[in-house]
Amino acid sequence: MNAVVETRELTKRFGDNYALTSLTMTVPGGHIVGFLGRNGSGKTTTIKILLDVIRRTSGEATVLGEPTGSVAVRRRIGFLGEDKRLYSYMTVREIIAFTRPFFPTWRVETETRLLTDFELPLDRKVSALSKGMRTKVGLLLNLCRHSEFLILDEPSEGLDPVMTEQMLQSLVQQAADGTTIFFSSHQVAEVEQIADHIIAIEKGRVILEGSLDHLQQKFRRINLVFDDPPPPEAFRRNGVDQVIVRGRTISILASRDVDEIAGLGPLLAAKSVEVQSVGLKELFLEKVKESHANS
Amino acid sequence: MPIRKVWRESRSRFLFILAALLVMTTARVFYNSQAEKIVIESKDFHEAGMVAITNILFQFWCFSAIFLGLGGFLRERAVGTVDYTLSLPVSRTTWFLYRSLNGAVQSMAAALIPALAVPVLAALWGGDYPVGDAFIFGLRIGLGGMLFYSLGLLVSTLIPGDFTGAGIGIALVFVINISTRVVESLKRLNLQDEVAPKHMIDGSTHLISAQLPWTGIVFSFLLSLLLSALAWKVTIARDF
Amino acid sequence: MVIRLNPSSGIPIYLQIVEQIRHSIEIGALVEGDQLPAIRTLAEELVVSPNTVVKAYDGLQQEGLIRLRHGAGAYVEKGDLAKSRLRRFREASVVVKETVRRLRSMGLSDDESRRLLEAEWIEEAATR
Repeated sequence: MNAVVETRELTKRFGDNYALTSLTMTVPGGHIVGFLGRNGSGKTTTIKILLDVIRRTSGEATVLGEPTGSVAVRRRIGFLGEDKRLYSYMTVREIIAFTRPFFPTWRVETETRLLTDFELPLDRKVSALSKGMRTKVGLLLNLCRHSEFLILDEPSEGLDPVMTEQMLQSLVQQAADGTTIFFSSHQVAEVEQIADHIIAIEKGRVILEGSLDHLQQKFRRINLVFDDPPPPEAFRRNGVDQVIVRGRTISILASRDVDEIAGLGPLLAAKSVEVQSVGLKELFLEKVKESHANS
Repeated sequence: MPIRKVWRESRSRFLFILAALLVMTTARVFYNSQAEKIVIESKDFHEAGMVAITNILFQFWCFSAIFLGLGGFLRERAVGTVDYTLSLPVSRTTWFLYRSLNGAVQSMAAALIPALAVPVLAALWGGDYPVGDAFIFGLRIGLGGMLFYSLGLLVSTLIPGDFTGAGIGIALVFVINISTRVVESLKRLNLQDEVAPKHMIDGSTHLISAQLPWTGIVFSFLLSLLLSALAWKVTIARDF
Repeated sequence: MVIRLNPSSGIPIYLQIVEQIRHSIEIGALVEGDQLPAIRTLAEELVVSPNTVVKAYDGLQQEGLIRLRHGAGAYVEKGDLAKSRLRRFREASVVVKETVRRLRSMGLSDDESRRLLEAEWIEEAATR
């Protein structure tokens, strides 16, 4: 499947502050892509550029093959913002009636089904809805479109666990129907759960990217215990991201040649060799640290 | 439909302004303070009608026009809905066109309807006031004064916050009106004089006696188009 | 079949699904001919990406444990492949039981034994 988003050296400057610095990334079609980053790392800025709400300073960005700003492309995508704010003076019924005509792929059966599933009060004004209800309305407005591509900015922000689960479930349903999902989040757990591809950013740059399965299988933590630990430099090589010494244990985070590195243990008279898998949180935190050390 | 949203968001403001202008015009018609005459007795609506339209209606309308220009994406950003609106498959230019045309029509209506109320009032009270004159004056206010509407439009694209924008707009109206009345070189640009040029109006009947010149009005209208174009440029260029 | 996932463990979710379905087959919770949930249904139930379920089912099919019938769902495979794997597992668990017993009788703790095993696998893999 084709890439639904491609950015190349995307840069955004606000005065003296660089929100995005040469951001280059590809969002592959047919996946649920988690856009992971801390607060202020540039996630919302990137999304706003994709929607042409703000304009880039330099670099390129395309959505569904067209440059950002294409009105025709917006007919094929969906968007749910972090605030999930809608026109407060409209009723639920009115805002659905307002949105429906813009999207030729809108399915009324989905609308009817979701209205029941979500238990939405048709004649209540948006201003009188709780955030959870507003999210459901926002989701409905997007899911009925059955668009090719759905962008969500911090979708679980402000939602209770039950609502979050319901929301994630509807995203999975959309993905099963063929929609590519791109959601930003600062919560690793949620990304690990439903994303099968991740892009992590820090300070406006990509620090980690790829299929989640692939990343999980690639990285390993190797713990070697020595009576007399050798200097950590002995283990630094290409593919080693981190070497920590804790007393008699040397802990190595590696993305390549794991067997070789672990094999060094017995060669250097290690008392014990342990190889563990690495979760996304650990990986992400390590990459954040790395990016700060490099800048 | 985009136009319904635009109308809906401007509806209460417009209706309030229209109602206020109608009340003011009506009140002014019935109280002619200069001659201390009460129009109801003399049934002479000519002077009262003209004064009501060309003074009171004109002055308050200018301020109102500013308000009719407010709104837009900056306000939506403050409320939090701008991301949703801009994510829809409607170009910024289209939204701007809808908003500016909606406001322009409302401004015109806010000038014509109160102006045309004068002949209606006159007829109801047994007097008379020519519909033609009322219509012409109302039209001239609406067209010539579109400048103030465009000013409001421009301010709304530059400054977030309804009150700040309104405040600045009102201040500008004051400045424009006073400077064109007081500063010699600008006196020719005084819109109020353009709407009802004294030398074309009969002193005793207070009716239009000859063809009114349109150059000043047209010039002002063209200026308003320029300001609107500027507002459009700002809208399509800025970050939200 | 009850599947419980640990998304934060660092073990790819599709592997966890494969492991748990394989386990279900081994202990007889799933027998040949049983129909597995549709990809979409399982994805919704577990709240994971459909691609992950696809990968898991593909993996299971490659091991010969299930068969994906085009448009007709996924079924636990009947045939010697599944059975022989089951048989092998039963034999292997006997070996493991015996080994654990012997290592314990030599005075090794379970942790020590585990580390020995891991080191052996790594060395094996490195020299392969």
